[in-house]
Amino acid sequence: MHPLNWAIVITYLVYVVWDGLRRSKDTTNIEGYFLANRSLPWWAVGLSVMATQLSAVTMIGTTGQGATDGMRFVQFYFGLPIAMVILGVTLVPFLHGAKVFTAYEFLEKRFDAKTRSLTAFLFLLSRGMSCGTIIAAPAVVFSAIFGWDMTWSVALIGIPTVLYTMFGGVQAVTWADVKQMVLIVFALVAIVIVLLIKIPVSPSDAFELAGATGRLTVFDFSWDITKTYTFWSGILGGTFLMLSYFGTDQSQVQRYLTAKSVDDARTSLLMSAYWKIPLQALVLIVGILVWVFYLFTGGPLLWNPAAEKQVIAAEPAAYQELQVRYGAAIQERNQDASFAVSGEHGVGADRTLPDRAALVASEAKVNAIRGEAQALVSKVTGAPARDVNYIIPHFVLHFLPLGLAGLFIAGVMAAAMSSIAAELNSLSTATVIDFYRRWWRPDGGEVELLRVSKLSTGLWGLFACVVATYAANLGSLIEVVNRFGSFFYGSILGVFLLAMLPRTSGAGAFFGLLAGMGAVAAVSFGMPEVSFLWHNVVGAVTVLVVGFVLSVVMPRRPMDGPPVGEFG
Amino acid sequence: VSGDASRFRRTASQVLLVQLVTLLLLWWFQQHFTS
Repeated sequence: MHPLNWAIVITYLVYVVWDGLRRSKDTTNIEGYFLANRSLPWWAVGLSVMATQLSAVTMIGTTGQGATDGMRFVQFYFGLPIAMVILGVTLVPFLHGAKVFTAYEFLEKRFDAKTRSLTAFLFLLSRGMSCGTIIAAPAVVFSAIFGWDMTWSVALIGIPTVLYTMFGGVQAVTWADVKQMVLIVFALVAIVIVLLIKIPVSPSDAFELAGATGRLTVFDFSWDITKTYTFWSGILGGTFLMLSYFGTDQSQVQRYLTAKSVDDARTSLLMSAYWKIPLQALVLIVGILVWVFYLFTGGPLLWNPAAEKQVIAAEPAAYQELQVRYGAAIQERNQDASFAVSGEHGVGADRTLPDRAALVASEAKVNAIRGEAQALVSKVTGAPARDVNYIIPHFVLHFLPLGLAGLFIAGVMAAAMSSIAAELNSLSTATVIDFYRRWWRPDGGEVELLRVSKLSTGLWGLFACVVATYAANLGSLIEVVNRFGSFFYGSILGVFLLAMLPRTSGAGAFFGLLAGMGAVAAVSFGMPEVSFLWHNVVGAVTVLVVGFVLSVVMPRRPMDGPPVGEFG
Repeated sequence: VSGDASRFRRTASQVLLVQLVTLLLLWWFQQHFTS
């Protein structure tokens, strides 16, 4: 990469650390460190909510998914606006009004200490691990494209984030998120503009080509629960996932607990509801346009340069043979794409139709050869190829104008860092509030708790970096992050829903939670087979049913509190 | 507080309406370029 691009990346890293560290002097107590003394405006919280959710996986993996699979992934977010409105009416006013530090703290008020501790522990377990994968996702790509050692890639992203999160607390996290979100959107819009200029056909023709190969198929109305992305899994499964994520996951709950009022807290969530689907569509359109660009430019057989090197060294003859076939297939596809646009081979109003069919066939041929190359990568490296994550980085490094490549790489780092920072900040909050202060030092002073909070943030950062170094081969980047959450999310949501019902007890909530997790574990291992977006529905419904029945059957203890609505 | 609640109701209705329009736009996008 050109030195100017590196200068942009380094300037970004130095600025974000400096800006975070200078906020550390304003923090003198744990309410300031974890919740900014509940003083932040809705727009800053809203941007922080969005930046937390948008990780480097979105910038690299989802854009790549747009290039290979098209728009259908956007269905995943169809439930988000519904979930945000439901949360604005239910959990947000309560959690904000209850003046708690963590969502789990409320469960003790409503049920008992063991339910609080179990849910907080599950959060630490799943988020601690997923934080590692969030660092690993861009680190593995940087290692491959820049030839760095994985440890250095992890350190480059992890250390600056740990520094500003550890010393600056939530103030640093939120205000960094605001700037990072602006940088991310700017980078995405810039790449779309460059693509529209560089693609040799009109935008309308570009979309026609994408449409011809099925990439603009957004909606799938089938009721197949083994399919991951359908309209119904997005609307129903997606609503449950988003309710769980934004309503019970401390990394999100803590964002809106920093808002200065209940109204600011729920407006911040509605901001995300407004922008998430259009933003996700923009991310996928970046991928689609990159695919159209390479339709005319060719592009390599393998997008991952490190994997390509290994294959060339281990299987030179086989790879050479694939290269020859790939070259011919690419040329054929290029020609079919030109014909499909010009309509040279057809007649009448539907004159492009025969050429579209030819394009679909030649695209399938290219994909088949790419599939063979990826199988070769798996054979040589012993790990799945995951070539899709290298499509966008290839375009960024080879075709973006000077300066913009640096900006996009900084944008990928910003996306990773904003998510990691929020995770570390919330992991530390749950550790200190739900365990350290709850079980060991209920009378700990502010100075001690603040010191332990900073130490805990640093240790979680270290843990995440270690996990990241070894998480490289854990499975598709997107699915891994979602899968970790999915295992517990729905069940924890079930506990919070149970809390809103009258007559439910601590024992019902605790054993219902265990039953819910058991049910999700069963469907995760294919008994019966259900796609992962439905796991949250399975978990939440199991907890609700089992928890309610147990609450009615088992004798109620006096310590079980009133339902949510009766609080505050 | 009631002012906050009615403002929330108004904004939430707008959000859901905008999402409906977004889905319709995506549907048009799909139909226009895929058929």
